[in-house]
Order: sequence, then C-alpha cells, then structure tokens
Amino acid sequence: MKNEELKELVDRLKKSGVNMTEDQISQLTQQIEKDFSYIPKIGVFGKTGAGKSSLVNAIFGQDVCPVSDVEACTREIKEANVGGMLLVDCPGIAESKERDAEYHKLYSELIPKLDAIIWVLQGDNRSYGPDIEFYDLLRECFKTKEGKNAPIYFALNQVDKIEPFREWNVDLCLPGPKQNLNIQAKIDNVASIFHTAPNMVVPVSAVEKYNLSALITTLLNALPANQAIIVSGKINETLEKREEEHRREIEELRQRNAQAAEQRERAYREELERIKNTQEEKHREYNRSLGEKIGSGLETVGDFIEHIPVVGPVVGGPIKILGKIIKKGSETWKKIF
Amino acid sequence: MSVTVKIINQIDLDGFRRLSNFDMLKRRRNEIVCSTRNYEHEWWNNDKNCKTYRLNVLFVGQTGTGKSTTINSLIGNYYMLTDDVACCTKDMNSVDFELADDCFLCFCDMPGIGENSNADAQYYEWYNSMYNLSDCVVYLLRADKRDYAIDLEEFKNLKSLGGNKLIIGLNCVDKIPPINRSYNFSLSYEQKENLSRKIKDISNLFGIPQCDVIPFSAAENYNLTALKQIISETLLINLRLYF
Repeated sequence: MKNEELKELVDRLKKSGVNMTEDQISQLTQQIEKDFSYIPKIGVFGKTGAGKSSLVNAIFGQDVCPVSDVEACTREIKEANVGGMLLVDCPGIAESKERDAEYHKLYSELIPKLDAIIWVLQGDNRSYGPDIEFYDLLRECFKTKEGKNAPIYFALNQVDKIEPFREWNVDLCLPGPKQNLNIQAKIDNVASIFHTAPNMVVPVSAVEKYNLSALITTLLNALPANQAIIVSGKINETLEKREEEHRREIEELRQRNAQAAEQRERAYREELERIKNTQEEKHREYNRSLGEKIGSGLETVGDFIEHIPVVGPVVGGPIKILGKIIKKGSETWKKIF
Repeated sequence: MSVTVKIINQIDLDGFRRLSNFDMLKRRRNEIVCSTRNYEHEWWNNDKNCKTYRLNVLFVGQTGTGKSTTINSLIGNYYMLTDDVACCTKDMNSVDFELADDCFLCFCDMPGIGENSNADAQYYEWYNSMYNLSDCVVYLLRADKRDYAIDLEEFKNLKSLGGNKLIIGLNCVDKIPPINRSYNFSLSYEQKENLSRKIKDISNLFGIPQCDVIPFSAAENYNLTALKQIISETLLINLRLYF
C-alpha cells in the first residue's frame, strides 16, 4: 500500500471521530506496511533432473534459472519473484554423495526461512529412495510457528513423459486417455509412498506448460490466510498474462504450420502439373516423329511402285498421296485412323 | 549362501536357434556348452532335482530404468511383467534358453534399486552374489535422468568385485530432451548431440570406456542389435572363446 493511501486512511479515521495519538498512528502504518509488503518465500526442492529450474522458469515466464538438457547446472540457491511470491530454486539432490552432504547443510539452513515447500518429482521415474530420505529431513526441519508439521506439496513434473508418452496432445496441452489413467495411478502411488494425501500431489509439466495454474492455486492454499489474499490478486494477473501468451504462441505456431502445409501443397501441385505437361509434350513429339517417318516411308514405297509398268501409276499414286497427307498432318495423323 | 532364481520360462533349443541377432553365440554353441561345464557355472535345479549349468546375463540398475522391458525386447516376447507406474519386479526372475540338455543361457532380471532403503539392503546383497555367478552384467541407466548418486556407488561396488563383464546400457534414448513424439521414431539432430554429450559424461563419471556405453531404446527397438552384439562378445570373452 502506498503512503498516500495510508494518509487518506488516517484522515478518514480522524474525520469519523477516532482519536489517535502520533504513536498509535505510526504503529498502525508500520503494521499495515509490514503486512502488505510481506513477500512469502516458497522453496522448490527435488532430485536433480526433476525439472525444478524449468518449473520456476515456466511459472515465471522467463529464463531466470539456467537449465541444461544433460548435466546438473543449478549449484546455488536462486530466487525468482513471481507476482508477489518468491520462488527459491535449490540445487538438486542425488547427483553424487559428496554434493548431497553439502546440499543437506544448505537445505537445513534454508528451510526455517520458508513459508511453503514444493517437492518436485519426475513423473516418469520410480526410484524415490533418495527423495524419501530428504523428505524425512524436511519433515523434521520444516515446522509452522505453532510447532506443527507444515504441509509439503508435491509437484509431479514431466507428466507429459508418463507412458504412453506419444499419446500426449501437443495442440491442446492435455494427456491422452491411457496416459491420464496412468497419471492418476502415479499420483496415488506417490501419495502412498510419501504418506500424504493425493490432493497434495499436483501433476504438472513445465515443458508443455500443463496445469501450472493448479500448482499456484495449491500453493496459495498453503500460505497463511492473510498473506494468500494479498498475493493472489497479484499472481492472478501475471498468470492470466502468461496463459494468454502461451495460447497466442500456440495459435501462432498452428497458423505457421498451416501456412507451411499450404505452401507445401501448392508446390506439390505445381510440380505435378509440370511433370504432366512435359510428359504430354514428349508424347506429342514422339507422335510427330513417328508420323513423319511413316509418311516418308509410304512416299518412297509409292515412288517405287510407280515405276512398275501398267499397275504402277494406278496403285503407287494414291499411296504417295496418302504418305504426303500423313507427313503433313503429322500431329493429328492418329486422329485420322 | 544359496541364491534362488525364479525361472519364468524355459525355451528349447529351437527357440534359441530362432533368437535373432545372437549369431555369434549360435554359431559357437558347442564350444560354449563345453566351456560352461565347470564348477563356476554349476547350479542345482530344485524342481527337477538335477544339476544344471547356467550362463547368466544379468540386468541391474535403478528401478524404472526398464530392465524387464529390455529383456522382453531382446527376446522378442513378453515374458517379464512390466508396469507403467509402480515397481513390479520384486524377485530374481530369469528366462532360460536351452543350449544343451543341462546347459542354459539365462537372461536374469533383477529387482531395481533406489525404491526405498529397506528393500535396497536386500537387493544389494543379491546383486553382489549374482554378480559373481554371471558372465555378463548389463548396468542399465536412463538417458533422460541425471540422479546417479545410487548408481555411482553400486557401480563402484560391482566394479571392485573384479571381472571384465560390466557394460552400461543407456536406455530410453527416445526420451532424451528435447522431446520428440513423432511416430516411426528416429533421433532428431538435437537429440543426437545431447546423446553424445551424455555418453561422454557417463563414461567420465563411471570410469568406463565410451565403447562400453550402449545407447538404445527397448520400447522403440532402437539400436538393440548393438546391445545384443556386445552381450555376445562379453559372454565369449568371459568364456575365453573370443579371439
């Protein structure tokens, strides 16, 4: 809340007859400022390669965290401010034993500062041994102010790669029917492994931007009530913007694909037409040359027969004339017969 | 200590002859049978109460790397149970191919490690004892993952047991990013580049020559021939039949 708005509030309170000392006013403003400027911190943990950085990038809509296709690349804690929420991207566990010990320390220092935790799991993976160990550690360290166990949410990332992964509908960003069943089965499986409720497990896909808003909604529920409301107003705007952007991207891609397909189709038709024309041309040429040959052949035969006495001129003359006709109309001679 | 392997299916000599792309083994069947008749390959068959000689090809690795699927693809038939979501192989299963009356070539499927620490302790024991009893061990990794902490440890452990029989199979190369969902699968240019980087990384990490890292995809039948070739070679080398 801005200072002017605060002043207005105080003025209004004074007008309506509330008597406040200077101390009380400053206390009130401080309290309000503290409440409104509070930025909740959310930790993103998980095994290496599960897609923590990709998920943060997908929610944020920009490449705030570096990602790699092959090797582990997040070595330090990175923070990204998303519409009034701070996402903390942590290095992934289970890369090697030495690194694990190092990160163990890092995690336990960081955890008390956090308001909520997302544990990122790779959807098409089942080796959750290291996950379980670290999860137990988290459960011990991560407590609410009242000393209860604070809830830890699970993001089941890369669900687009759950078998059968070729079924994924890229245009609609939705899983296929068999895949959907497998995703549900996986959620139940994960919930039973980590002793939590299935509604704590949110299937998402950072690459395909699937179900990200559901994850955010779940996160908002995890925050203490008074903070969630302040955040949600801000985050809804950014999320809507992001979703619209993504939709526009897909639309553009589809249009580009359609254009490319049309162009290919046109080129194909032109090619076909050209081939047809050249073939016809060749055919005509062949007919012409054949006609000329036959015509000249008949002429010579006619010439030869004309020299025979008595019958010669009578038979040879017409043959010679026929040969001339064929030779002249060599293009159309076939139509005569 | 005794090791019990559950035989899922026993396939006769004709089945072995029909097995595709194991020509090197088929051609030298007699020599193989002769050289396996020793104490190292001796097993006791509880069902038939007789002595058998088994030539084991072992498939080990983290759970979900596709050990059962790989065996199914290699054999060309669905003998091993597989599941899209949960871990399903809980004991040591094998599919046996008859080479002679009492001599078998066995594709042995191990339960995957990394599921949880309780089960793992048992599985590590099995891995160790089976490693000594086999002639070729295929350590399966997945190309689209990088959480190799468990693998590194177990691989080091197996390597320290000695023998020149450990090879790495890099499964699921069809899922290596950037994802490629096209049918009639073939690796895209970016995927090929990522794969070659991955193979280099793995050979550095695990301390194994690059030629012993075989990229393949069991689900897509991609590059399985190379895997079959290297399995045959490793078996023959271990039987001292490869020159």
